[in-house]
Amino acid sequence: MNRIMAAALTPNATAPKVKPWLLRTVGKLRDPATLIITVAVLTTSFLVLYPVFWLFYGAFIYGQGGFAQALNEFWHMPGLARAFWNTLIIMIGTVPAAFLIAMPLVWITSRTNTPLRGVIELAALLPFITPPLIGAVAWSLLAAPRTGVINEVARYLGAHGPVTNIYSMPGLIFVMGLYLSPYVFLTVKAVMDRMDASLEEASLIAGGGIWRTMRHIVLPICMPGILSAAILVFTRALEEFAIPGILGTPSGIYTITTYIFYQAISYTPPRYEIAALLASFIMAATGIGLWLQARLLGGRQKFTTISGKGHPPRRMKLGIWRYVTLAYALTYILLAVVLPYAVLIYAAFIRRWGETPSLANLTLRHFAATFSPDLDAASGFTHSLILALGGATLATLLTLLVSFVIVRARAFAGQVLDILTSIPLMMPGPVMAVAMLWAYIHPPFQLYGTLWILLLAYMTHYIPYGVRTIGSSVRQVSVEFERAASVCGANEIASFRDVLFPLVRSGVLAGWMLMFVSMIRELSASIFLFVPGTETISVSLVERWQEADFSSVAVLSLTLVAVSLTVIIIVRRLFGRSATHFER
Amino acid sequence: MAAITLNRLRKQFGPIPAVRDISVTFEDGKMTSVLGPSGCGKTTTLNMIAGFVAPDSGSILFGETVVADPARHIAVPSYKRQLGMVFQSYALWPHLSIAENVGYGLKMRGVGRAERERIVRRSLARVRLEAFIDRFPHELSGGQQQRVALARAIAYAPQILLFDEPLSNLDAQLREEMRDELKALHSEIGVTAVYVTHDQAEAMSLSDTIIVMGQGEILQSGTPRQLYEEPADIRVASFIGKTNLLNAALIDGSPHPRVQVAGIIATICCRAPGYAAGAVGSLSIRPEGIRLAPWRDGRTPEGTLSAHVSIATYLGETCHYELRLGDGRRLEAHQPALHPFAVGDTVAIEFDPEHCYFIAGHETLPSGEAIPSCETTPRRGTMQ
Repeated sequence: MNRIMAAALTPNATAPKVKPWLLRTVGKLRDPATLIITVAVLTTSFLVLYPVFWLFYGAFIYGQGGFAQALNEFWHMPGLARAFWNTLIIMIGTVPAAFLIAMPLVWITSRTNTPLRGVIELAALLPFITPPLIGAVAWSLLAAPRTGVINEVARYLGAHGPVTNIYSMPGLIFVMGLYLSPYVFLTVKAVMDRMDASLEEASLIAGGGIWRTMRHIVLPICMPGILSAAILVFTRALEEFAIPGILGTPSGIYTITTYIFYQAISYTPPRYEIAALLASFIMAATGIGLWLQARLLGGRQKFTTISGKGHPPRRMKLGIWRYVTLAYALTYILLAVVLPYAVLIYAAFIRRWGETPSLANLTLRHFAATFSPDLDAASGFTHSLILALGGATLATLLTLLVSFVIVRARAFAGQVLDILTSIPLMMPGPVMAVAMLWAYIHPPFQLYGTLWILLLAYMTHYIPYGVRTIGSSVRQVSVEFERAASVCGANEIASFRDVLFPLVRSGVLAGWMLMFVSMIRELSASIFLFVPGTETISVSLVERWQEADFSSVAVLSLTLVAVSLTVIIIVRRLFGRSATHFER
Repeated sequence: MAAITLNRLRKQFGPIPAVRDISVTFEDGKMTSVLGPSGCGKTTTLNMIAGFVAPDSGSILFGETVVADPARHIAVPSYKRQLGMVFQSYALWPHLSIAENVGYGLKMRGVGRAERERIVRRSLARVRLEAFIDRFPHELSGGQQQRVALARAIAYAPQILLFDEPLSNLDAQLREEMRDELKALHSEIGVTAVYVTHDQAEAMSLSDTIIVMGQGEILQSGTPRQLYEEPADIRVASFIGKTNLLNAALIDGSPHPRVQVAGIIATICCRAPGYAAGAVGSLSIRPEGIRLAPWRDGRTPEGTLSAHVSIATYLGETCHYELRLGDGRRLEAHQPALHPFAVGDTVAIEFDPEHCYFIAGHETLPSGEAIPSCETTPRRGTMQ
């Protein structure tokens, strides 16, 4: 009657009796679904668990005197207590700084009739596109005590001594707040915009004034969003490496992350156990932050008042005051975007640092000099490009596979992968790097000193990003689409190729782009893992900055931003539209 | 062509059995409906037939071929089962044109481009959508999308067609049109079809045989008429059409069965095939089997049951009444709307023996069990 069906049945029905379980296991691996699950679980487990194992081994078991001696050494590390203290101050200082910057912007863009709201909204997210490293170097060029442009101008105007010093705790907190404020802006604005206007109107009708309404209605509703943003900024401040590295180190302000780098890894001889202990500490603290945040966001569903229905809140008519709010927003744009980029452009094109810009003393020679083939910046650029292209592509493939298993195979494998892929969230760059050092210095995988260790570090670090973006687009595809393909006669591979992949393509692309842009600018893990010969562009940038070669720093910064933007635009143009032309 | 046979099929999700050892045959070339309230196991059964869900035990046969039997490690994947299926959500692939959607099964079977196009056109012609061949799914209305889904399912002439509540997303009028279209199409192509639904009107109008499921078991299978007139189970009686269920004991068996209903002095003539006197169970009285007459003191025969009209709903053709007996029990009655009664009227009740059917067992309703579409079912305990 039906040959295909009969053919499918015979091998199983006539399976020989020798070791049936073995044959079954091997047979199952030939089944594409099982193969996919096996590959996904094994690869992810190795990538994530192997370094984590070595990190804990290094922190708690390794060493001749055992854990007790390591702990003893730990207590007597010079300056470590100070580094903990500094980190705490920065964390506690950054949260109000980020909120002070972002909250007025949220209010201005979603509740007032301030002009240019669209521009302000876009500008509030711009620090996202600028890597923290570039923000930090730009601000060091702007406000360093002796060479900073602001101080040069002040001196020219007759000031005695520096007027600003960015290499200080307040300076550090200011830049940190500036670059972490978009997290607050995004989270709180999302809640504010989805809020049903009738809630506020009901309060106003009931006689509550504007401020009472804000305090008793708007604020409580926004509270989960505000708290989760606060925790996010708090943990980000703990993890941040580039900003304290650039702005804190010159005046001896170390945080835990920079302490690991300067006092444990770059120390001779390197104190790897101390690094592992400190990294484990950061991992635990980040883990607690993530757990708190997940609980808060989980609780947010209780606020059913925030729905897709209802009408948007009415905007306040500010009258003449709207120019005050506009001025605030423009000041923000000036500090976060205009000044940093202006100083980078100045440094990249001016003949000599400190000259007054005029057409005559502009030059392109810094570009040629920075990328001259005999310097490491050129190869750093190539390395970053290779690592970002390769890493983003491999990580996309892996996370696509993993998302597929998590969403579709509601079995044990999915849960295991769900947990495995969120572990790297607890491992910011420096932690990941220390774990990678431990894992890939030792046999059997001696990859230290090659680009491979960087590739593995990038992939592992950004797995959660990929799973989040790609996973959510896989989740949006109804299982009936695949079932329909299956009854039409498509096996797992055909169904994936013809149905699932085309439907998730734009999500996959977004995931790839996110990972590419993050990888090409990666600093906090790369700086631990590079050796002379495997520099990345960001490592070269830090090296040029340490040599006070400002023009090269600026050239590299602008190139990095330009490359990221170009890739985003090209990818959007090529695939973005065709993938979204149908509605669902 | 192939019949579908399920042998002691079982599926458990966690501690709850979704399907409990069911055995049934879906006849070759016939359209069989699987009817039941949500959560009765009908969709799980369909998913096991389709190969989306693996049974825990038991077996599934297509004709003589075993397609699933965990005991023998047989699990033929869906794509080798030669099925066509129409989904509740239509599941048309949004990135493919109508032609590509309908032609996909043929492409998977290696049918050449020219031949494929010819068959796609023919399949679309069958559902009167040839003109839309180059459109995309989102450009079509819900009814059109469902017809494309149907064309896709029949394009490669599968042995078996499965329907998973295909009409439930359509509005009432469109649903009736599609029902007739589907029936005509099925009689034309004559494949074995399984139609899962929770809508009894759909099941009764479409299929030769209906299988009623509840709590993972098959309650009864038979023709629509058998299910309506001779329900084997009070759950079937209340799910197929509306009914009034009263606890009753059989006093006389065949050939002229009569029951005594608790709280009602008069005995009621009914149908009770195969039961002997003394059996206890329920009397199912269809609303249209209750005849009402105005109550006239002195002129209404003694012993006639009386009731008050508590709700009267005028529907043009008929009138629906909710009646209250003296002890507060409610009955639902449907009458031709010629001389409607008003709320508060006292009426004399007579039961038409043809519409009264005795069901043994279940003296009272099983506890904790919700019986859908049966508002007139007396609550447990109100009879005593």
